[in-house]
Amino acid sequence: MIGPSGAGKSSILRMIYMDVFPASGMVVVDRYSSAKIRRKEVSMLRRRIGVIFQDFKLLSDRTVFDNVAFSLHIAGERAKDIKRRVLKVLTEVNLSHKRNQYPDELSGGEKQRAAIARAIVNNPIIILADEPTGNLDHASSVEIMNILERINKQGTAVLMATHDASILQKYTHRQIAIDQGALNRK
Amino acid sequence: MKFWFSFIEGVRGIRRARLASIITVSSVAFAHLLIGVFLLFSLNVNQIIGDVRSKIELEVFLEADLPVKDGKVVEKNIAALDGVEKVTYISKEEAAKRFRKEFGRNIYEVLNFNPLPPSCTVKIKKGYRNYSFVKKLSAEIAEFDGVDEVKYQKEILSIIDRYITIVYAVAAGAGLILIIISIVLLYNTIRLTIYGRRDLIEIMKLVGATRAIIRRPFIVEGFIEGLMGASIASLLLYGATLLIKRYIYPYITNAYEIYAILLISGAVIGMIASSMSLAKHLKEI
Repeated sequence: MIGPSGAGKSSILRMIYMDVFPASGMVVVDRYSSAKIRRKEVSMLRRRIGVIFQDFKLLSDRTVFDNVAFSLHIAGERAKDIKRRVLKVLTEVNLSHKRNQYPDELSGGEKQRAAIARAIVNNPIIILADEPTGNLDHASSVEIMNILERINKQGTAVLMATHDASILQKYTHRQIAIDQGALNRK
Repeated sequence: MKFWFSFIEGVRGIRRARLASIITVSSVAFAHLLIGVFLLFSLNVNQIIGDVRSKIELEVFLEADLPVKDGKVVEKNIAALDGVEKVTYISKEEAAKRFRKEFGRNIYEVLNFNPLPPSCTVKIKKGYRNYSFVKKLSAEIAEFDGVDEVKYQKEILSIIDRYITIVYAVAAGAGLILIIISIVLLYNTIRLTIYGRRDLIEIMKLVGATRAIIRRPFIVEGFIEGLMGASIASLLLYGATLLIKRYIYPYITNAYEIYAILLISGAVIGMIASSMSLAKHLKEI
């Protein structure tokens, strides 16, 4: 999803995970509709959506492992399952060796990989990525894009908002352009 | 969502926002110290009043020449009345003996005869020791055959009864105000700690935490901080009572119930305050 700043990319992502609601029209995700979803159902929906941000949104008071485990704890998983699943996704993003480190001890790319691990640990139906490479250098950006692409190949939809032209050239997926709130397919 | 997770998150919150936690605990401690002082004061005032009331008794003077047999009948009739705990018959002879004991002189040496009438002392049951009841009872007894006069400490009873309502009302009002003050204090300090952890709440919402789940760690935190504050207040108060007992007022009464009330109140107020401030925060974001 591309478009100039303020075009509404983030708003669309937020509407998908029902953080904001459309003034007109309707958002339907999985079996939930923005028109009649209840607050508790919003929580249930979010357990099936993984969200990644430019600023990572990791909790600085706990390790990488605990950051990833956090969403499973919230979902009420059992401690034994939590350990197994967290280690599995940390391996997938190649971060299991840093599982006991704190976010402040990680590089930007590593932080974003931890955030991706947290986003996928719940086996989401879709990954929403809002400028995931916005704070990263080129090498880290490539790394993150490769991980997202791998996740996509494994069968999870990925919707990413970006205005990084080099990414758009290199990764030729379906592109949606947004300008002043309107969608244009490319 | 397991209990332990909420608990660990709550403890983590206290450790992370250390300064805010210290402020919260101190304000609970301060408020509960006031509540404790007030409870202890009420308890002791109550104790003193109870002591005074328990000493209240009616003195029923019988007719001077009433035979012992008839006096015993009066004693029995009084004992059968509602609210009477114990009646003791004091014969003329017994009264003379008491006179000698109290004044050190034989009444026969003073007057050549015994002018002391036989009498009954009436002790009143707990719960009936108030002015209006005693007044009614004494009027009733005065009507009995063979009874000459009924006496009791009218003044003290009426003073106690007149002021006790005021004292209790003021005490209840003060207690209520203190509790409200401590909730407001806590509410505000906990709001600060919650504000300091917007990120945690934001991420909880993002990964699908319901409001109940978001609330739990904060309620655990309020519970722990309230309990800690109340414990500090209890220790200070207990120490203070020991000092007062030793140096100022040896008759001070201490009741463990007061400390139980303080601890429960601290924990409950902590939970209420954090749940209130969180509700407001969740509404704002």
